[in-house]
Amino acid sequence: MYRIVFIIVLLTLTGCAGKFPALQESSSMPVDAACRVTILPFIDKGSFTRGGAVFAKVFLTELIASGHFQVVEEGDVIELYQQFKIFPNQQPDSEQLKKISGRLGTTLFVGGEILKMEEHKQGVYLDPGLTVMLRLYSGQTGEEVWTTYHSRRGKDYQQVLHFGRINTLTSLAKEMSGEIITLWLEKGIIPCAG
Amino acid sequence: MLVLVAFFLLFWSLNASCRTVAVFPLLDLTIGTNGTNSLLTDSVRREMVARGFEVVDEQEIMQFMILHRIRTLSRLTTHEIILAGEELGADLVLQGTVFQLQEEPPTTVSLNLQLLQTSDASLEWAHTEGLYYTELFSLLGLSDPENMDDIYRILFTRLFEDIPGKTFPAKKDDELLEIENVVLRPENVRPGEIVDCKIRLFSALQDSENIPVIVARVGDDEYPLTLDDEGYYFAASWPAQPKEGDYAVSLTGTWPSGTTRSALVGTYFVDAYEPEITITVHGKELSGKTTFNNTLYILPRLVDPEPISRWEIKVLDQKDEVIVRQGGHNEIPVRLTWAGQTDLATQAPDGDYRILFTVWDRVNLESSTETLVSLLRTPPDISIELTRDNGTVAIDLENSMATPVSYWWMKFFTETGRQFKLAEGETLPTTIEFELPEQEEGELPEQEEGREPVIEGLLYVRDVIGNQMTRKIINLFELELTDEMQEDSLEREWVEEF
Repeated sequence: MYRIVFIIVLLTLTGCAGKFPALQESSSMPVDAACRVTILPFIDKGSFTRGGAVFAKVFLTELIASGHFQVVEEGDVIELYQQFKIFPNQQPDSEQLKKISGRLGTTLFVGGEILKMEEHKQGVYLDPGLTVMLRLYSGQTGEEVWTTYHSRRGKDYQQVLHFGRINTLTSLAKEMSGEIITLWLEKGIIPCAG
Repeated sequence: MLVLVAFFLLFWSLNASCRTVAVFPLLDLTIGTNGTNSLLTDSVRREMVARGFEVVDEQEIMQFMILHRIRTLSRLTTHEIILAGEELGADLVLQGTVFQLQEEPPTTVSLNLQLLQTSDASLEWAHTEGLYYTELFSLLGLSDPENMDDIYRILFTRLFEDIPGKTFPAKKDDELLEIENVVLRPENVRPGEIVDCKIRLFSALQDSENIPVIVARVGDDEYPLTLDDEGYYFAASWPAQPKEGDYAVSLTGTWPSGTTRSALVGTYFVDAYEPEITITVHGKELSGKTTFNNTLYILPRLVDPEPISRWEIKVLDQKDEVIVRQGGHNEIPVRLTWAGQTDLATQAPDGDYRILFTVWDRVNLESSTETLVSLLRTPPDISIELTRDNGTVAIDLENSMATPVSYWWMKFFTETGRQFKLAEGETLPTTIEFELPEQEEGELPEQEEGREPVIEGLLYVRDVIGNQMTRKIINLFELELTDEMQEDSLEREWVEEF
């Protein structure tokens, strides 16, 4: 309920094409957060087939490409999900996150939902749309620390004529992931020294 | 010149010998959650060869996947990546995913690759690239792609443009607590009961000589784990703590070098107290007992809600015989209903009954509660006495049942069916008085002189439990009562609450 109110207030104050990504801090980010990041399977509510898997892999790639994060293997995460009997479309609770953290040495979890993921044809172009809500959890306590909401369409990046326009969901996800990571680094995730 | 050539050959051989890559089949999400794309996998292999990498034979990779039962693509675990390095002789593992692929216009292709170092399973490089056919059109149409090969050429050029050309120093720490599987049970336990903990380490660690001493820690208590008889699990058992609560189990491995590593492996809950349960029944309070005639609502409630394993409800008669038994698992029901029947679907006789509700929690601690109820279906038994003084009639009504009356009415009719009196009330005994009615003009049949008037009566009584009785009196002065309403003697007016 609190997050729904947050989104409504955010949209009201900033307008529908408001300032995204938008970040909400529930508590302070752990100092060593970037040292070992685990990406949890996203809960997929979009209409693009296997969109959750697409965004998770793209986001992992951008985390690595930023050069500031060490990311846990997706296979290790899925293996623990199977051992703890957690379904992929289910968000682990704080106790389960602490157990996963203990096994993987995780300092920060990235989870969340794909709220919208779609592609529409507009003439010769494709108009992809993506809306995500990312949730960051402390590896030590399993509690939520940050929430980030981001929403974009491919044509939002159009500059002159058709230049700059993003036509594929993958490219849109890549661009948005970069923006989210940039925001996190600006807001206080400290690159790991190790 | 010779020095330069020698240097070049040395440089090339050094690079070539450090750059063996195992290219695993690409996951194709356009086909399914575990689809594969052989064409693009082959293309990636060729691109890696073209960039100076030595590529592990395809068949060897398939054999490796079969041997280690790797059933899902693009999701190698840390252990599998390290094994790929040891068994395939690969410095690097390349895995990837096809996100979008449409060869027919509008042509779309997007791909993701990840390069992992097998020495420490670290993710060294990853890149995502996507192409849409309109992005490839130039202003004059020069060098526009004409087929998929052209598109793939452009895609792979962009995809591989920043792939690292060398391996990175291994970050692997040989002294890691690499746990393959943990069995910690039971999850819920009584104080003093035995908790079993079994750990399976990855075989590379378990079979090596540099094996750590592993200890399970629960709070301040330590329990050393030892290899079981089959040599498969490291196991330890201990009695559960006496105090109720959640207990976290962490493992600590201590190597001969003195390095110590810890990992939280699970938790268990010590349940020391039985659940506290109450039941509430809804009915009419009579003589200190809840009384009902038709349906009894039973509401069980846990005073301090906790998960339970099973529950049971029993109804016992005055001889302590169980006439109803019902149970369930997991949650207690919000409400139960007893319709006054036995398990054999027969009506239970009027009388007192004991409702017994029992619940067991996850560690089989039992708790019960009970309440007394009374089943009463017998309707009011009304006696009618009539006295007459000239033209005035007095009717005395009295209820011989102990259950108080909540409402009654009585109607009086002439022989022709005309209602001339309605009396009602909420308590009995009572006396109803009325004057004999005069025959109205035109009313048939004419009353014969000297003939006694015939007065019909209709009586309805309901008690506080809800039991009802109805009587039709054909001739009040002769107090002819019917035990039940005959169909052909129904009154001519609509009768409410019959």
